[in-house]
Amino acid sequence: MEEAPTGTSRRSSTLTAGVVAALLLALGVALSIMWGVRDAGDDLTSKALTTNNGDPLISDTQRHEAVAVAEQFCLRMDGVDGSDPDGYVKKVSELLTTKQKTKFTQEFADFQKLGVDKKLKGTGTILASGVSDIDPDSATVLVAHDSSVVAETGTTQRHYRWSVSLRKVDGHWLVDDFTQVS
Amino acid sequence: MTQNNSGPTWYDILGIAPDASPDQIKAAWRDATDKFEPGSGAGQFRLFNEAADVLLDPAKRAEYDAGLGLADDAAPETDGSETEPVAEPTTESTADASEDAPAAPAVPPDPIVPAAEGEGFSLDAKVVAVLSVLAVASLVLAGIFGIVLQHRVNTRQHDADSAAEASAVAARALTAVLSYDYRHMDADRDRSVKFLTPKYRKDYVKTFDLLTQGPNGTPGGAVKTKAVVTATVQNTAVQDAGENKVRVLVFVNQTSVKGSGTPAIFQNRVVATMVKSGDDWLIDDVKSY
Repeated sequence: MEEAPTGTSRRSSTLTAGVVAALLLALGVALSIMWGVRDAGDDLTSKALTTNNGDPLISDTQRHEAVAVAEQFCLRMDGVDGSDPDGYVKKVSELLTTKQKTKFTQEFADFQKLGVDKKLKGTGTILASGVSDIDPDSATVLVAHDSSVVAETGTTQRHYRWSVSLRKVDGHWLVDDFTQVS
Repeated sequence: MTQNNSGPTWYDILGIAPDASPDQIKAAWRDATDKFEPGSGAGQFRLFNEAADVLLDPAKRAEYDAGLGLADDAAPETDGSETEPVAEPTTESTADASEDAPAAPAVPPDPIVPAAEGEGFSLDAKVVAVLSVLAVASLVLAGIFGIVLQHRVNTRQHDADSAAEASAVAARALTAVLSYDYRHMDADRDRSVKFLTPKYRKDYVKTFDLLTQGPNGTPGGAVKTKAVVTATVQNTAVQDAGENKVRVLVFVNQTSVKGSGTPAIFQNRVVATMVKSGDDWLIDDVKSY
């Protein structure tokens, strides 16, 4: 006697096919989101792409941000203002790590004790800059800049070669140290 | 074949017209049995099978129709024989063949395959088809994103490698190119030009030769002052990098000794433009700040 070709076996096959299709759809959506976000967003996140062996690949955006902060630091340092020393310290400190802020504030306070010419006014010009070294949490940027400082005694031109060390703090680059390369 | 005279006909059981075609009967049987799981509605399942059994057999159907009179509700004549069920909803073989029972009719074709005309896919199959299309589309999209991402990784890795390479060559090259000794200017020039592109070489040689010999054949500046210049690279940094061109910021000191004089140190800031030539990086330009 033949067994009825019941709707059961058909329904079971359809259910299995449906489950497989749903799982593949979920996999495709998950991979699309993961790779799509990584592809479009790696410049926007602090997480670097990595090579196959796990070394970080720094995006152009991260490089540019590090350079921008280093350049801005040099310009603010060059922009000394004898008529508003507190404002000058505040502007520079905004770009510093806590450690460097403490050091800079103390050094400027020592400088002020020597007597700051109230007419002292400086401006800076960035000539060239570049990334010497960078990873997801730290960077070293070289900045070639000139400053022109006007004082009671006259105008002084200075030509600087600074190596600026930066650290990533809460997603932002801050200056942790700098040295004049001589 | 038995049926209650006052009850519904096999046509009623299957929900079809008395003049339904065999295909329509099969389709109706399929629709009716789809609603039941094995064992859950065995009685009704058996009824549908019996209906199909009769109506799909031309001889039985003719007899049955004659019994009905087609237009009226007259019950078909019965001969007391039991019809054999088309099939039981369980795997067990439960019905015993009666002596007079005809052979089981051919079972309608596999209900998974839809009828030839007019019968579409079930709702379940449509849902599965849509899910399948979406799954394929999402996997293709994921594949595209994956390929683009890998390309970005490869490009970025390549640019990073190029930048590091060019930076290292720039340091070596500038040490040679910015150094000279008045006692062997030709050799110094020949050593330096190996690091330069043909284009930049022309400008460099023109300038360098003036250090050796002046316009009227007089000794050049380096020879006249007995200058020995030694270049030392302090730092390098990549200003920008592409696959075949990298600009490198170099802090380079030149220590100059003229005769027996005191050394003077010049703290230079230069940007060297490095270009890829075959496997080598060569200086294509040097800009001093």
